[in-house]
Amino acid sequence: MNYQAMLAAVLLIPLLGSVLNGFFLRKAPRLVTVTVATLAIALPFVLSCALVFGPIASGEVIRTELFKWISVPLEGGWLEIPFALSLDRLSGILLLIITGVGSLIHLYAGEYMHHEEGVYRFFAYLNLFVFSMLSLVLGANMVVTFLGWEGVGVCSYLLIGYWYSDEANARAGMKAFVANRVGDLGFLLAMFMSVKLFGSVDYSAIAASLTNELASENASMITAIGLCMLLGVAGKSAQLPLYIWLPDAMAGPTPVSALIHAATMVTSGIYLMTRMSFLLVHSSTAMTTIAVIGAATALFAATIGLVQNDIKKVLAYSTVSQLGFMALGCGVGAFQYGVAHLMTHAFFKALLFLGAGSVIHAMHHEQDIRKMGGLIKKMPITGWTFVIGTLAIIGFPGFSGFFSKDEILYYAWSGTFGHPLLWVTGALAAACTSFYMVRLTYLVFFGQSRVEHAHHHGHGHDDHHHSHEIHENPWTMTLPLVLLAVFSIVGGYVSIPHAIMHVLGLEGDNAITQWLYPVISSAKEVMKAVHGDAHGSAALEWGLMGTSTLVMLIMSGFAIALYKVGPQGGDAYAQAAGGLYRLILDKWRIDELYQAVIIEPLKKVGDGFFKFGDRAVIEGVINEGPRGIYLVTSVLSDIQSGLVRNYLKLVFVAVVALGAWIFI
Amino acid sequence: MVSVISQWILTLLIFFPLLGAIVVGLMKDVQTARHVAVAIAVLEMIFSFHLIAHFNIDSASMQFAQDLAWLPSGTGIRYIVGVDGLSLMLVLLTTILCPLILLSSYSSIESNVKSFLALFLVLESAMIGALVSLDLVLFYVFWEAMLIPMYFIIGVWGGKERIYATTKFFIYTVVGSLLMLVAFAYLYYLHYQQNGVFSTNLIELYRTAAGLPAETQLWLFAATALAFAIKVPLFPFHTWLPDAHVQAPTPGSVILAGVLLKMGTYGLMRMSIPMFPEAAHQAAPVMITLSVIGIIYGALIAWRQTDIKKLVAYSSVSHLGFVVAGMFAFNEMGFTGALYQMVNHGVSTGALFLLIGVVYERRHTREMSEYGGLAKQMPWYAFFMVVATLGSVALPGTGGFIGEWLILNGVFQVHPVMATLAGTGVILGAIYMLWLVLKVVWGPLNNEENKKLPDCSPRESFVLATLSVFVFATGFLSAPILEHTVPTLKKLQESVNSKSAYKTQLVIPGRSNEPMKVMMEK
Repeated sequence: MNYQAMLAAVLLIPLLGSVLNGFFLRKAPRLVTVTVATLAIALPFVLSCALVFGPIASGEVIRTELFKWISVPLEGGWLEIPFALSLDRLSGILLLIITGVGSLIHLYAGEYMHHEEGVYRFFAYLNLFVFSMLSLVLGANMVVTFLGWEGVGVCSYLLIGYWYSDEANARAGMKAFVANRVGDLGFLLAMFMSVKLFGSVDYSAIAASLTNELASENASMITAIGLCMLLGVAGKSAQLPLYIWLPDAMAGPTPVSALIHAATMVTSGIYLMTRMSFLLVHSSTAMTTIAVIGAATALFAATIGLVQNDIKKVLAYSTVSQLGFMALGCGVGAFQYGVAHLMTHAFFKALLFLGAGSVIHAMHHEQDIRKMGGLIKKMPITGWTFVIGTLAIIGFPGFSGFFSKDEILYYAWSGTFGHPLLWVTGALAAACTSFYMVRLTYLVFFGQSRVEHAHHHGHGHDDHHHSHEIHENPWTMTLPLVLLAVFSIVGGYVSIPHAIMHVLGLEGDNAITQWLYPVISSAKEVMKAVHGDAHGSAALEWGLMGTSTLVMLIMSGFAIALYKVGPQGGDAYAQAAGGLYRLILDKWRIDELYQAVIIEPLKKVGDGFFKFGDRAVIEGVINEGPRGIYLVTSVLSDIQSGLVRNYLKLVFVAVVALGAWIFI
Repeated sequence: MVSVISQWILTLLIFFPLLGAIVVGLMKDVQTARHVAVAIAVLEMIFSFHLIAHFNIDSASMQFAQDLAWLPSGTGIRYIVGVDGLSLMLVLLTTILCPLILLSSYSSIESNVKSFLALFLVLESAMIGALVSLDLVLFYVFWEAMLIPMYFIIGVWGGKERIYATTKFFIYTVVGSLLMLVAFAYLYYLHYQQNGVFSTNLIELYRTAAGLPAETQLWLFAATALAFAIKVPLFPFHTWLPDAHVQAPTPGSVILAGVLLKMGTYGLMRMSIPMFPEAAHQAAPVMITLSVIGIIYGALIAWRQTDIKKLVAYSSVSHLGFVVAGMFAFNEMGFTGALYQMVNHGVSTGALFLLIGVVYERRHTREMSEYGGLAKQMPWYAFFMVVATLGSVALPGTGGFIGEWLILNGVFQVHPVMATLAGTGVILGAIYMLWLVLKVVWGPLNNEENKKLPDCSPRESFVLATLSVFVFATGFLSAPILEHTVPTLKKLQESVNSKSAYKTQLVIPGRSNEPMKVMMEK
């Protein structure tokens, strides 16, 4: 099988799985459904490994065209948009994450969803999601990417609202789709501007035609493309001000949160920015805006995470915050570390979500961390892997998050578009992260058990459980946890900081920088040409690294000290903070703000258009107009004459008048 | 043999349903009449496939043409028909939708069935006639002929306020038509003044009209464009549409949204723009502004409706705004997107009206609050509803995306601000459509009456599944489909932008210097 065919197979097998489960295996036993769905992702994973570690590693780019899609004449040429796929080193990383982590999550979900009726629907959506996600990263042009971009949005919509009988879930799905659509408009406008400027939406064609002269002649358009793209990124990757949908998206089943709302879909924005890095770096305005939005998102979401009591909500805000870190990395010009963090985050956040799911599953859908505690004794595998995930995310030295996050923070200070203030914001966010993650881990797994044994509420999901004793889950759920835990440790070694490499006696760039070199080299050249070399130093790197490690240790210790006594440990501080605490607990009331400032006024406008515009003005003119004419020309008529005759009279008068005017 | 068929195919397509109407009208048994009507529509559809099989995709000429005498030769009025890339798409949309609609009428039309079937087939004849006519008088005859069956379909089989609705529909359309007639008459007179002979041949009149002084063009453009804008309907001439849609029976709503509205946009592209290019340029800012207002205005109103049918009706105002905006961008992306969107809107909105019909027949209410949670009881219904919704919100992978993307892209190249404003319609579209789905399909199944509803019958499923396939097929097969329209729209774009007459000619099969199916220009 040649590489092109393999690449096409990687994309199409998940689609096939979705169609099989969605249409033909509706009545099949659960085991068949799960096996088909898992194989539909595992098989592409095997093919992906062969491709990425084979030709891609040796520097090839595989491109294949599936069919002609859009083809219209443009002024002086044609706009040809084929349904084309392209696999390079950037999409290669994403490909491995999507199919690799995806396979594990499918395996896990088979057990997690085992008590659900009609589980074929869940797996059909999940496979369809993977298909969309793969089109997003494999698309050789923006339109194929956009197909995936909106496709993952729809699958996310369907999966968040999977338990649709509760309207709140369906509403959360809708909110996600609409917030994403706002961002999608940005993506659309960016495409239109690309057509205007380059006459193409193909990434490599744009890269080829974007010369420095062209960029400086069209500086404002390049900035506009960058900012529109940022809007799209803000929608999909949950950045300020469009992040609001992601916390609500936790209404979906937990494997969905792990796959879509942590490991893959939400990182699409980071992928897109890296893909378009050659263009973005031409605009300092766009880059700086990205960095600022990223840093602000990282800190803002982290503050909310400090006080949440729902295990998934903490992780959701943590995801928003971590995505902010990735955007910050891209914005300061360190795209490779944005991608590195994307990868390590995919491992440890998927691990954390699956761990949370394992807890929720064992506790029969209890999500309040105040009702947990001491679970590590009952669920050791879940517990210890969760601890590894936590160490990774807070950046404990040696764990993956340490490497990727530290590099981002270092470049936030010293990168081409970096600034000490960006570092301060990022470091504060990291401090919050250490606090809320250790708080979460401690309250769930350590200390006294606060589990209410008496609870036997009529939740439909509970019915099949024979025992209410909390115990570890079967291997299909723990195996993914263990594998992800391994990667949460080792995944970071692709981005060892230069300072450490130097100490270790390693020469050259770290693995991720080398690997992504072909993708981001042109961006680097532009940055170097315009802004000179980055202004960092080994001393600075050591200093920043030491500071953030120290802060991490202090905040973690503080969290343990505070919550040793249980969830009430933070009450004193909460009371001292008073209104501020309640404001943060209410997520800064941003949802309420949007509701009051955007949604409600728009509803009023809609009502106004209908009642006033349509009914009063337009209908009024049309119904009353004839009456006016009727009065003027009241030649043959009785006052009783109805609507129809008035109309006909208007018609008559109008036609005669017009005819007369034209002919005479 | 083939060339004889090709010569007569359009005439066959026009008159075959009319003959069918007579046959159906004479039948005794109602059920048999239904089957026969469907059979006639299916045959009509198969006949229309001859057009695809033998259409020369490299030509912008009027193919399968026929030019016959009809009225006394001194009048210059002839029977001229032909199709190019523009009308081909809409003819096929019509012939494919009609059998599906007739199938859906098995349960939605229960009284005076034979009259309904006959009227519907007459309507099909008139629609095909209007789409292929290349003579103004012939066009006008078919244009008005469409009105009569539709008037009765709403007025006889409609809801409670059908008389008000159908009268309003009739009067709005007639006002526009009469203005159009005056414009045509004046053009007829001008042509005589310039050439000494009378003619209603559209291809000749293109030349006459484009040569007129700008001011005359503007008035004539205004008169025809108003007629078509009412039919589209373009804001602010849209208020007849919600009433007509809400009161019309399901098949009436589907054909109204599916094909009749497109007669307005077709008219703009076939007549107003190429006939009066100078005026079209002057009017373009106004037309685009009205379209963009319509997009946002229609969407916001749609969102606030509690009547499902009204919601979809206002969504049409919004969607058709995209179509008109696209064509007035005067570039190929805009024209192609506009034409494609006419087809896609027909498919997805047609499907939505059918879906409304399915639950209306079961529950006899269109109030959103009466529904909710239907996915539990009617999973296939929910599936079709979601597919139609995805088509309507122009998700990539559906035809709606290709259409909307090309339209917005085309408009963006000339009016970036307008395109951005129109783009908000993409967001609002998601809001009102997902709101509809949320309220009807998702949520708890609380209403006792909904707990016993049967899912789609095999007949309903067949119709909805066919349309669902089209929703996605148009999304992926856009290149081979739009290939047919490229030469026509390219020529249209060139003549509009050079403000010169639109030049095309008839290709009469077997009798022409331009052989069918042969490369000519590229």
